[in-house]
Amino acid sequence: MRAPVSLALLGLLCPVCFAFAQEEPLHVQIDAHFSSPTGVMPSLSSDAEYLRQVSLDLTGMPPRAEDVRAFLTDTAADKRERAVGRLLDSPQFARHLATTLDLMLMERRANKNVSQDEWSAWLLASVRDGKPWNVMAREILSADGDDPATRPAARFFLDRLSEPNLLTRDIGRILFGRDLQCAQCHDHPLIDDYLQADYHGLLAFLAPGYAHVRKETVKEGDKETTKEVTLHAEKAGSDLTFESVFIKGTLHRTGPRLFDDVVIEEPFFYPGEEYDVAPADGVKPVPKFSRRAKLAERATDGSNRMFNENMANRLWAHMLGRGLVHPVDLHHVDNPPTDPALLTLLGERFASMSFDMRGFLREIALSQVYQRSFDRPSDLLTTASEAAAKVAELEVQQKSLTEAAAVSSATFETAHTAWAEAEAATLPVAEELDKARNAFAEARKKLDAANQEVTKARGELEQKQVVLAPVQQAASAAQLAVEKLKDDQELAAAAQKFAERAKELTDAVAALTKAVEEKTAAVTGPVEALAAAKPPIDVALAKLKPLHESLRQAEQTMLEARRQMRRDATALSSLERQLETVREIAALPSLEQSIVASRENVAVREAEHAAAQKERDAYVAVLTERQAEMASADDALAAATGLLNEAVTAHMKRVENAKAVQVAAESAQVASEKLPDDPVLADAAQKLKERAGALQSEMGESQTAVETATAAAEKAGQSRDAANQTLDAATAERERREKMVADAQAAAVHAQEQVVADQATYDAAVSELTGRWTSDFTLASLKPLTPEQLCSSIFQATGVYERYWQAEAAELEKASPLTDEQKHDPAQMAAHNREIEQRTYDKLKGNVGTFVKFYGAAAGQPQGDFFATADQALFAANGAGAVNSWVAPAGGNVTERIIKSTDPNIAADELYFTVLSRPPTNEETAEVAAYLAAREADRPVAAQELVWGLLNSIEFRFNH
Amino acid sequence: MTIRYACNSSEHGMARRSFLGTMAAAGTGAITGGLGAFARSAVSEQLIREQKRIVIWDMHGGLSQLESWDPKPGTDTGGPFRSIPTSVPGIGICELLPRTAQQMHHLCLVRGVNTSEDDHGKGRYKVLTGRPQTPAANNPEIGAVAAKALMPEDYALPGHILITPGGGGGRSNDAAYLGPKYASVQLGNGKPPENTVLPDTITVESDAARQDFRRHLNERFLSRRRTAVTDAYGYSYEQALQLMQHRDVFDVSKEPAKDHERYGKHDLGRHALLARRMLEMGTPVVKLSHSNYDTHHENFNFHIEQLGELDRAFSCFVEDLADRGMLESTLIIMFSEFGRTPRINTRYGRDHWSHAWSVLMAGCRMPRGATYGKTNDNGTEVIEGQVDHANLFHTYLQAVGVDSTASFDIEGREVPLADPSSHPIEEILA
Repeated sequence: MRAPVSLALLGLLCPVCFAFAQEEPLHVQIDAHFSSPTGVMPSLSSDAEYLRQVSLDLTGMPPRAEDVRAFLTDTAADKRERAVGRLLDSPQFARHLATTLDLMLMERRANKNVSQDEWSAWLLASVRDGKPWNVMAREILSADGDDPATRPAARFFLDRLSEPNLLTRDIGRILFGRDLQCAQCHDHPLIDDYLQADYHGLLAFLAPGYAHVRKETVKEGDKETTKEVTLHAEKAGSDLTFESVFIKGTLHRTGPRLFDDVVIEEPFFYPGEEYDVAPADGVKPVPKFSRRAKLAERATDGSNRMFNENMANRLWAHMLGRGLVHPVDLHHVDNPPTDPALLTLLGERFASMSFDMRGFLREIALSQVYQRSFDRPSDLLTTASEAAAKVAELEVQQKSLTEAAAVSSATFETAHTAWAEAEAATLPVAEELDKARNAFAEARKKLDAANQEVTKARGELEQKQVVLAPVQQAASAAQLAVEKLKDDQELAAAAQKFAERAKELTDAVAALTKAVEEKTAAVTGPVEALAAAKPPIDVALAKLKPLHESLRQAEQTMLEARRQMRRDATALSSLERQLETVREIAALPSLEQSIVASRENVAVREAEHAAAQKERDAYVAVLTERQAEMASADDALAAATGLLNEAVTAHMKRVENAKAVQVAAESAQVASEKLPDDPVLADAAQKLKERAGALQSEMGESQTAVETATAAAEKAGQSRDAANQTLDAATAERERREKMVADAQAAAVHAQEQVVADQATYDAAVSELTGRWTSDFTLASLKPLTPEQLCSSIFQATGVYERYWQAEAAELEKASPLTDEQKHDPAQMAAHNREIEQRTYDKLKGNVGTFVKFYGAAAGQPQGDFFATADQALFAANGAGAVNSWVAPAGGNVTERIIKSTDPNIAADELYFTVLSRPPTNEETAEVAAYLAAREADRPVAAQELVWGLLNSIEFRFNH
Repeated sequence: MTIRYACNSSEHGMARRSFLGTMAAAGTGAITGGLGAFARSAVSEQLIREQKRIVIWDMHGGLSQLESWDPKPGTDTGGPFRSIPTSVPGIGICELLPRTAQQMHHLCLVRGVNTSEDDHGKGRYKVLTGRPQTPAANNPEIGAVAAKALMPEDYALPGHILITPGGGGGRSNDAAYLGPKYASVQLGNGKPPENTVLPDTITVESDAARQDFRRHLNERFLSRRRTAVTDAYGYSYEQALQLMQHRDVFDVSKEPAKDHERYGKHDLGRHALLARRMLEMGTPVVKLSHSNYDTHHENFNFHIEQLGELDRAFSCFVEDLADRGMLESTLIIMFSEFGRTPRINTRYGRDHWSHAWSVLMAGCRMPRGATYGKTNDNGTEVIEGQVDHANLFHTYLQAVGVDSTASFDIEGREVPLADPSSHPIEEILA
């Protein structure tokens, strides 16, 4: 299986490719479409995943455990195909498709005129009978509610109260995939190809419609009551005029026109001639030309691409979880299909398959793209290297497509302006025609009044004439009698009376005859006036004809230009989307390399950190040694200094002594010189002199000692300074090594952070790609179950559905047992099963209603959007008579089977096969076993916890 | 509300982050994120103060402006009641609201309202959505719009509360295209939301065990594929558990007896007190209502009775919010679907009247003790400062700091928050 990255492009560039494949089944064509030379290799869903998915999509509920087991052991190559066939033949398929159509068409609007049962029955019967979609749509667009047989189909109109704007919006959205609501009051501000004229063109089909209330007399026994029945009625249509709220004063005018189509040509009727049945009080009118009928025909005859593609896209979305155009009702130039060529193919094939929904769904179910897994592809790098080569190629294409889109956008602008001008030219003449028509209508009204006068006078005359003849006869007869009985006074009086009466009547008849003549004459004026009112219409029509012709041409040109613009813009944005995806894939290796590089960097930095630590630690001894050296140098210095001090002290003492002796010697010398003959004195002086000399020499010795000590101290000081310097250097070295460690550590931390950041970038890119791959169907979507599916799935998993089915089957068997012959007739059995399904559905539908209340979107809103609110979870956890009671052990359901099974492996199997339609993994089996083993005392409670847990898990809530 | 998991919107990213944060916390069984309101830490107190809130008093049926905010005593339309002075010199209101008169310095009266719609349903639609009712469009009500604009992404409790006079619970249908996340959760007659109590058959331990098992299953699944929708689904269960745990948030009986006494021992008093409690807990939008003002008969007697309840509850409510500093962050709105006719009918009633009536606002960017707009002497027409539902709708949003001219992105459709052809009442926005 190849990826879609460039296949849409392939399709774009080579739309003819598909022409060759016309004969092949659609699923083969789809698969051919989804193969391309580059892209990711998506994995395929497992058998169990496939069966669960396709059962939920086709029947609205998961398979039973035994069906899963049988499917897994089946080794036939065509088992998926056979499973699809079996599901499509089941009564649940018709039910689920009918429900899907109901949600799509009515969006849970209230039943105001058609009951839900009638509507559902019509949908169900239509699906069961294989009624083609276009036929269903035609019935919806045509039924007016008058004929009981088709009244349910009228619900689309009747329960929207026949409101033209609401119908315009919803028909646009639901049947054509285009929400034109924003173009009601002006050209769409953001979407280039939604014009205000598109909205009003569609509105013109629906504007003549209205809700008509018919009073019916209903007899119940003796009682007669009046019942009001609402029907959809239609008057004769006229042009709609509108103006943009942004450009006031410029009027526009349109007849009925389908999106992308020219205004339809309507036959012209002179005023008063538009109806087969004219509107009157209590009368449902029938116009000679029904716009609604025209809409039904034009939309559904297979030629309307938007109609065809809309439903193909919706059915695709039903199966794949999202449309090629998504949201499915917002198909426009800025929200193009992910794959325009595929949408074209689907639309064409859906039409060529005669709008057979069942067959179409079957083809999708069998396609490979439907069978893709929701797991992300594992081998991204190979893909990425291929993608890189693709980028440049796509960029070249982007350039030429951008140019083409600019050209066609400009062409469209020009064509749009020309169209607006052509329209402006028609407006005065159209107004002239309006005036002429109004004058004609006015004249016709006068003529009708005059004719009525004549009719009235004639009636009166006839009344008198009817009486006149017998009275005249009676008068003549009485006159004859009087002549015979001349004396009879009474008779004469009576005859007189008759004669007078006859006279009176004759006069009256004469007067009335005159009146009739006068009134008949009075008609001449209005007749002439009417005749005179006709030429201005014809003149205006004649004038309008060429103008309309050029308008029509301008419109065609504009529409063609718009189609071209849309094609080019769609091709461009589709390509850009792919380009972006390819770029992101191509960028993955560098992101991954960044992680690898960052990881390597972490290793380098951590090694550096360790080395730095080692160096720092190694230096501790050196520093200690230097510190010891410093200490001993300090000691030596202190010792030397001590010795010096001692020497100095000794020396100073000697200096003092010597000084004192010297002074004494000098004094003795002076005294002996004064007393030269005193030998004692002289001797003493001599001795003192000698002593002083001796002391002087001793002082010299101590002086030398001091000098020696000073030199020693100086040397010790030098040694200490040297030691100090060495220590300072060592300390600096230690600090340097500490800093190295800190730096290396910071670098290591930073490197680790870089790994985390790179990983986050990579994860974000993959997450972004996952989104893109989901959009382009490389990966399966997680499809939230609808409220109906969720309820049915819980009923299936908890055995509630099976229990009700069996009860209904037994009931039916009792009421009308099947003969053996019937039991062997597949058609009979199918009908029998449909009957049971209907009964089961009816019994359980109240619960479905509860789920809709909690899990369903509001009425009149799109129903496909997912939301999760606390009140849902509260209902699931605590709701009275709901999930908790279905989970309780009963009737051999999964809870009971878990409680009873002695082998924990079997218990785990039961749990996973029944609730999630798949075998448990070994890890899951072990968990279940451990869970139950720890709860021997309250095993039933534990079993319920397990079932509840699985039912409320994300895996159960989403289909994938 | 839709979660577009395949999109690249920043909303996705944000929601995702906050989900991850709360999920991680939930796994540990601690009080989870997004419940700052209950953790009561300093930070959460601050958050609560800064959280802008709206409380709507919806006077069902049509409160008479002449018997409340715009009395016209002594005229042909005035009726029997006097106008009394208020705490703001120069502003007088009807004597049926003596306590509220003393709170006038907090209030702003818009007296020139003309909504041109005298039908209950259509009038309500206009006032609640700021737009006229058209068949093809279904618009969200002010509460839902405000909830979407004001509710923190990871807010775990219902952010839009509707206290109804009776009925059960459940989710309303007032959010239209904004989706059920912003639809109001009803507290029927002030009772807590439905299904917030475990059934008797399930023990607390068993519930904890099954929830743990569920979380465990989810973690394994999420390692295969994780998107905004899977996160939202898992998160909804944590929200539910928080709601059950903090069920007493909805229990007005936890408020002091003294306050019950002050607010009045009737439904409205109780509901107003509950509204105060919810706002204090950080609920962004609360709506309560008072029925029924549709006084075609005996307008005056009905208003004596109804406004007696209203005056008591509303004056306490305003006073308390002001005292607690909450008026800075809370916008009070009081409206009806319309007012009542100046003309008094033969049954001493007043009929539907949308052409000259009053709406009250207070707090946030509203001026304190002010009036805007004027009706003529006997209240039959607006003669100054006329505004309509669309102007008011813009103003409510602007008052709480929301750009009412912005648009929501609804599945790729740009939808303006308020009628783009209208504008707010700039004159009263401080």
